[in-house]
Amino acid sequence: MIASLCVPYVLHESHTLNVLQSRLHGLDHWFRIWKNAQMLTGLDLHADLEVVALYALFHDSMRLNDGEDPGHGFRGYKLWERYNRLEDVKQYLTQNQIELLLEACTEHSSGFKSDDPTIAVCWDADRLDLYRKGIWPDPRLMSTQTGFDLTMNRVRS
Amino acid sequence: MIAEHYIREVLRESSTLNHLQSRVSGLDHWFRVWKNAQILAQSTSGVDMEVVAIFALFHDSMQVDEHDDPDHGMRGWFLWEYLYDGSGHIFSPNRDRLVAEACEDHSKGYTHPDPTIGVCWDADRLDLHRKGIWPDPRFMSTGAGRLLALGRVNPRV
Repeated sequence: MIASLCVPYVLHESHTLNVLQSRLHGLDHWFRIWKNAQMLTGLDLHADLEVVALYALFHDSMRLNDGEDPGHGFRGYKLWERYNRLEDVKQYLTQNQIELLLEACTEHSSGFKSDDPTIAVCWDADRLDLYRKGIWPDPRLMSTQTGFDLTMNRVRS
Repeated sequence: MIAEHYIREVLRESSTLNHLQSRVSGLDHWFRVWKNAQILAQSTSGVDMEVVAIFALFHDSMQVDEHDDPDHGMRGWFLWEYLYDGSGHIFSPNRDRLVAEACEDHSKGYTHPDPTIGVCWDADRLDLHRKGIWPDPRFMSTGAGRLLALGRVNPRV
């Protein structure tokens, strides 16, 4: 996957990992998003997993703090752009895939839902990991049917 | 580095990540152990960083309990052995012994005169503050580790 090519660069440059040393938004969170996304896409073949993997890697990579931090999603996308100035890996993506990654990263903490199946999986996979902060994900904010079903079950249990 | 070839398999097999979904002993911790080891190795001679990288990746990979799991280091080493046996990589018997000892005994509170094992354990202990514990300088194996632990306990030292 293209994301695996970017991993060494992100490990080296990520503000979240190297400066903030976040306990909430670091590698464990990115890994669980990827696992959640694979679970969500088990029944949905429309999501683009190349974009989802890039989202998992970049969306929280440039946090300055573990709170609100407006703009961190866009900074994560800018890190993707910076990497592409060194290694042109975006040549393997279509323009549509790049635009999906931009929207998924920049808007992921704005509390929106999405009709696009790829962005929906990105955001639902992210929200399904909210319980690390002691928050049950709100089913009304889930974009996919599978995400909605999962959060309903979690709320009930 | 040799450890890089095993990341994909460890992500797939690790009980710490996939079953326990640890908040304190997962990817973020492994990453910080590696970063700490790089700092320690700058002022410690004779450190085999290939062994240290394997330790960082495997030592906590097979935890089944966050608090009481005395054999997790051995299980981490078993995973290394299992993956290494089928890999075709050549690893000297001395390096294999270092990986085994570093993993098996890393949580037993020992110090070690070997610089490679010393850096592994000190790098691990320097991340104890994730659990709210300041590392104790008396349990550090390297001079650099002791100085860092002293500095963290009392910044005026």
